[in-house]
Amino acid sequence: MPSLPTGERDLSRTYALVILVEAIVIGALYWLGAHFS
Amino acid sequence: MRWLDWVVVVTYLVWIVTSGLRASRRTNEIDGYFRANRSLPWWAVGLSVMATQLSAITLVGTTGKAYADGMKFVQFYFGLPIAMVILSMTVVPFFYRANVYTAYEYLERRFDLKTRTLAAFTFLIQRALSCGIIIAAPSIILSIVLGWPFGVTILVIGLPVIAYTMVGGVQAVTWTDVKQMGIVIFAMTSVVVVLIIGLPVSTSDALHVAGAVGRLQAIDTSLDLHTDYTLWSGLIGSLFLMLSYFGCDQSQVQRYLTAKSVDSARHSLLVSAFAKIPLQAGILLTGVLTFCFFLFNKNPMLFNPVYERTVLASQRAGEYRALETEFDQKFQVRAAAAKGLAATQSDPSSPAYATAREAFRSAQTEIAAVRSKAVTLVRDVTGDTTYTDTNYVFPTFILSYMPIGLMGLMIAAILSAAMSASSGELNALATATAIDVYRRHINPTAPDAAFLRFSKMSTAFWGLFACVAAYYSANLGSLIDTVNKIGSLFYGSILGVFILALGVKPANGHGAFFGLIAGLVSVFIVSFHPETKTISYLWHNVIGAVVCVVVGTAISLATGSRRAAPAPTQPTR
Repeated sequence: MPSLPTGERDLSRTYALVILVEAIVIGALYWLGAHFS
Repeated sequence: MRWLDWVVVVTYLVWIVTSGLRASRRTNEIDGYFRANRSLPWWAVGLSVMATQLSAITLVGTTGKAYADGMKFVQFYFGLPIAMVILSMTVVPFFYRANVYTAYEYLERRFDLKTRTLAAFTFLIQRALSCGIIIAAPSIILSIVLGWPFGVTILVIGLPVIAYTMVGGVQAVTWTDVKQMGIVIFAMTSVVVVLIIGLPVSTSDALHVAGAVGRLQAIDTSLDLHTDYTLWSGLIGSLFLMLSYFGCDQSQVQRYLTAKSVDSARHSLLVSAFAKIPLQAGILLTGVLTFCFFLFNKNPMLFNPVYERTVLASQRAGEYRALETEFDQKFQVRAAAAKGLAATQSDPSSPAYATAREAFRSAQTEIAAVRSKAVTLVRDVTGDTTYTDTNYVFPTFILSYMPIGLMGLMIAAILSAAMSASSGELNALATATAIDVYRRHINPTAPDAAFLRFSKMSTAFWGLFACVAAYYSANLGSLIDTVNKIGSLFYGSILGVFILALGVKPANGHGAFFGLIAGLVSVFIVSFHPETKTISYLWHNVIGAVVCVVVGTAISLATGSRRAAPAPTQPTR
């Protein structure tokens, strides 16, 4: 794996968390429509 | 508005302008004026990124859209988090290390001057038009509240923004954005509380009633290309739009170029990646709650009082009065049906629930039919065939039901949203004009003082241009759709040029230039051709990007690679 430039952090876990949160939010919105229909 | 509301609004205006002017440091230097000397913390830049995208249209247009159509518009934002991750990994460190002032500077270094100039002009045209619409939305509200001419209310919004953006540059824009986001979130929370208190049934019961007519259906999994908002147009079409808006549009690129470091710039985008969809869902839910509120509390048949007065002054006033009487009767029937449905929703399997739900749906259809007749009458009398009053729903609630003080706060929030979005865009328009046009084409040897003077005059010019554009955009239908549709004519093709620049090694200047033109032409054809114009505008972003990349690559290969892709070093200005 290539090394990061000086002073920069590896944010790959944060990126994975962004995608996970989006999946949860879309799921919650789907539930909202189903529950209140 | 009562005296306390006036105090709140005037206090807000004075506070935001003075704090905007005081927040500026070293704005007599080019780097301070355009990039804040790369000194701003990630959280401030992150809030500024969100504030620039969250305009008064978001508050007024989106809530009105949710009132009329439900929550489906939230799908528009589904591509945003993915786009932010992609941009954080690619474009953000690239632009930051390239030490540029505008995104388009890089295109000259990678391709040639004509590609840079075409991309900058494309940005200037579409952003200037959008900025006008962004100012128009709150101006409509103020013209209703104050009874002032529409043109005067546009200037009340536009002039303070021009003042602090012109003097304070990007620092004034960012720090006022932070304060304005705080006001918007606080005011929207207070609106939700007032809406919930005003419901005669529990919030859960009210949402069940709204759900019975589809207002809470947020996800549409259909593959229909002609439906504006689906899961797929949101995840794919919106991804292209967001990649272009946050990665290639100067109004957003300029925000994260002011951050302290590459990591700060990345974090500033990730604020939106986490918060944007929940925030938009919350705003749309506020629109749905407004729908619930007006099920039990009387609303006018038409939400635009100016058009209503025009009809009442015409020869067909009697016809309108008769419709109003019918509307009042239908309203009572629907309110009773809504209460009946709320009372039975705890047992969805019971026959009483099925009967109540059918009664409510029928009442909703009948009242919608009466309103539709009234809209047709307005169109006939006024000659305005595009009349719609979606944008007036939320202001009507604010002006009719918000308590003293909070009404002023909400008006201040709408002003905040308009100012934060338009200030960022004016700043970006001025930057692109100064860096990509003036210094590159007109006066490359201008001393810094003259250059800054031009930049400030450019801010004033674009501000006044936006005010004129605002004047003519009041009746463009749903403002939120209008601004996104205008953007989508250009975004995909611009994104295509940057994909060629960063990802296609053989691409050259001719390929990028003609690829961009081909992308723009193809999107305009699809948008206006009778057989394809009904395709959802979100797909225009995909079409523009793909055509630009394919045509650009083909032309590059045919004409031969003239310039190798250099590593980002010193900017070309």
